[in-house]
Amino acid sequence: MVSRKVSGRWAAIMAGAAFVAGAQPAAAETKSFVVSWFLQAAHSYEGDCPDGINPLPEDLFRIELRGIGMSEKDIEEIVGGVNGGAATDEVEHAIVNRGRHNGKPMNAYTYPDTVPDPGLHEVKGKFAYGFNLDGKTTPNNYEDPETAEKGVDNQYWRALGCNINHRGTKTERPAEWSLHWELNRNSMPAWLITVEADDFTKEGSDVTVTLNKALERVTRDANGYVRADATFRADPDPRWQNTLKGSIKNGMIEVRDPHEVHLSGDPYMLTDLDMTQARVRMKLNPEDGTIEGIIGGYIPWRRVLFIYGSSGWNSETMLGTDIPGAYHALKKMADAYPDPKTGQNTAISTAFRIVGVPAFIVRIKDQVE
Amino acid sequence: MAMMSIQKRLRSTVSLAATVALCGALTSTGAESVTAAEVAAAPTGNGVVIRRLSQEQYETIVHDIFGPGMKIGGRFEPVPREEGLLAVGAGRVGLTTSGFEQYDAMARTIATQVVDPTHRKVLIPCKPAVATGPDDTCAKQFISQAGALLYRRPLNERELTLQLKAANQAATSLKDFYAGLESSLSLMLVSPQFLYRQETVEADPSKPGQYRLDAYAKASRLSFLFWNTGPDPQLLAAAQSGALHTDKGLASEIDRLMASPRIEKGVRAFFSDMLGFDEFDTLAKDGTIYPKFTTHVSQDSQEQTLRTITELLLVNKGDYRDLFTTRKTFLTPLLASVYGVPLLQNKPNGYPETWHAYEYPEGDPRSGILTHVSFVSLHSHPGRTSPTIRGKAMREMIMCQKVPDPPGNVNFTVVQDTNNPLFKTARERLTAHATEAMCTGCHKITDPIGLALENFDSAGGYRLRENGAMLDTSGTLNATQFTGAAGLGQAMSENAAVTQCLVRRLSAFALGRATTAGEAAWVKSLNDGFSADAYRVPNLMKRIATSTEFFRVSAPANGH
Repeated sequence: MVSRKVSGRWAAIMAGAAFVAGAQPAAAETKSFVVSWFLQAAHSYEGDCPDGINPLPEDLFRIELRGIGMSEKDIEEIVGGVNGGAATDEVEHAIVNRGRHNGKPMNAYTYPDTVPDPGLHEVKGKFAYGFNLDGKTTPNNYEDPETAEKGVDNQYWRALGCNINHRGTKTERPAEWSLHWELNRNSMPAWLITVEADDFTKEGSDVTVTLNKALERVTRDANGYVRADATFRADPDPRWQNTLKGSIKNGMIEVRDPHEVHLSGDPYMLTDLDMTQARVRMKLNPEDGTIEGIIGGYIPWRRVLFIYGSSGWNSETMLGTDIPGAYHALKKMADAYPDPKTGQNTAISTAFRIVGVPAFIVRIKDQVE
Repeated sequence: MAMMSIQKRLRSTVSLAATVALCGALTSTGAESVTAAEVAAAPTGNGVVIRRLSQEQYETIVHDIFGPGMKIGGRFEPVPREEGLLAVGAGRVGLTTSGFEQYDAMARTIATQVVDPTHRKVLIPCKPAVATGPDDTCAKQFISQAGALLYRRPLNERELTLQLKAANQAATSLKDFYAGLESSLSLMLVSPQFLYRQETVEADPSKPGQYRLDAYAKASRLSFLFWNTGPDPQLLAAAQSGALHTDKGLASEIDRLMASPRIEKGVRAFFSDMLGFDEFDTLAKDGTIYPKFTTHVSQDSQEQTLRTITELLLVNKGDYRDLFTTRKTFLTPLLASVYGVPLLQNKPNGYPETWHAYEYPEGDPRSGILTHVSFVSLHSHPGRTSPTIRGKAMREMIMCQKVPDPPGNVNFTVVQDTNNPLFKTARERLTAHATEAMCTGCHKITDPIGLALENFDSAGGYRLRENGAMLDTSGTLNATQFTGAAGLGQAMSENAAVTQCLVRRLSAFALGRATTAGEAAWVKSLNDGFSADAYRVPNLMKRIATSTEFFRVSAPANGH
């Protein structure tokens, strides 16, 4: 079965469709997309970080090097040579190995807990994107700026939203995530969205949102963005089948009941997206045929850390995320799924902005091998 | 130092030889021969044309002779389009100094590869007695064989002596037999005998007082028509034996050329030329308006049309007119995204395949090659469509009808302003524009057919509206009324000018010139034959190739 945005003209029988089996029950309306952007849902505004925006990497290095007992002279010699990442091997080595264990240097990216916590500032504003995942409203929760939903759980935003490279809005993409996504989507499998509804314009109409990993990667258009109307095969691997049930509410596609979402990403940075208690809200844009919205839920906080830690030195010096600082912040802010032995929460609440452009999706579940 | 001196001298020799040959009389092969230039000057028509090899012909010949791995590089000078074809314009071009430098650089690049230790084992048919000096016997063997394929005829004694001398001198000076061959090969590759399709005529023994193309010139005409390359050894042998001067021998060789898969090369070359695909080299689209149109899409779009053409005309032996209505085509995943249809990279067994046969459903507006991205994008502005340019292209390329250029003082403001709320669609803008008296005449010729393609934007994407206004794609072709691209395609396929134009273009492609008034009867017979053959293009090629007119030459005007 081939699905895409509805258009009678293109009720085409694709040349290769003969091999595509596994037809699903015909929905009244099915729209298909490939994810063009997947970013931390940033909502920065004046005053949301009352303790200030976090210092730039060099200043955080100074704090951490002081924390391990280095002299000011040595600190200035090292930090002065960081030079935006264009440093000597000696300087890079000193920064990378600024952790200490029993007095011995340790890799700060592999063992971030060996670096003292520089104390990143928290986002303490009232608003942040996301969902009330636990059904509670506490002082640590936000209010969603679009839906006014109270009790929004988004500790990932609280932990790192005061980093200059994480700040952004709906229209101004945060630098850190934009770059990671830009770098990864050429090599990672495309992510697919299919939405089915009896009537997208009818309030309360049932909606099914399907999220899949594709067997293909995205291709680009003349501007470097994800090409619309390309064709993808949904990976039939049962691990990447995510079917979320929801309804149309206030003109939005909403999935309120918690679901699990598992998508395979890039082994280098984004790894797998394993989200529990996921909620989704998305809106169709009739102007350009795109879909955009928020997906929120809990993900393992160590996997979030890996996004930064895997590119260590570059991530710190070029993008500006202090990795030991992120480690300590994420660990502190983690708010779900405590380890039964240590009590340390293993997951952190998140919200991501997800955008899709129209695409054709071929289901090959029953394809003959 | 010595090497530099030799190379410099050789380069001077090459340049001089080429210049003399181009400006002076062209080489004759026998006492009774008449130069092509003399025949070309004949006022009675049926003259021969000296055509410069196209880039594709040059590259194909080199790859045919020395292998597909030969790197060529270089840059080819542009050719003017005449009679709607570059193939005709190629008979009107000379060579600039910088153009010759490019040929010289390419010649050296090729010659160096041919004699390098890897290739010489395969490409040089003999081994020298000593590698550190000249060996005329071995050199002659190589030069004779390669020369015959490059010149498309055997080298005459004078040419062979010249080449052997060059090889001998270079081998002696550089103490390297292969350097000698390299110099000789470089010389041949920049010679006008290679770069230009020269045609030699001779007295016709069966018709005293009349002349004919010699057998090698016949072989070249056939080979370039069917394969877009020089004659292969078998065709040269047929020329040498005199078989090509016999009806049986000629028919046998034509059948062989047509049976070869290489005929696709000839058909592709003709249609690429006729459809003006060279203009893709300078085509640009505004990426902010048409983000799907990339360089790869541009390349794929040309290939789509050529595959559609060769599949219909050669594989299915179909009717030429069906090119304007067929819903069958070939797509790549990139093209599919432009057309907005699903298409995967892989075949059902998972084997990666870029090109896939595709058939649009019945009733789909995408039917015929005029709806291909290659046509609608090539004949549009970078940021908007142009029904006028599209209509002009159809008239001139497909129907051989000349549309006059606009006068210099035309005010295009209304047409160009796509944001004017009063004129939301191109039809409305053109209607307002055409109220100017000086514009009306031409727009009546172009716009009614061009507007039928308005559902396809400047990059080939489908649209129903422009600036929110529904598009009206009704039109007329002469007295035939139709709606939309499918209707236009049907009207084109039924219009006699379309098939007559194909005959005119293909015969000009074969001859290298427009047919003359004196050849009107021949053209009519081709048209009649094309009709009788249910408009099968290979049959038309055969009719051209087997006709007396294809090889006929006039008597020289100077009394030779």
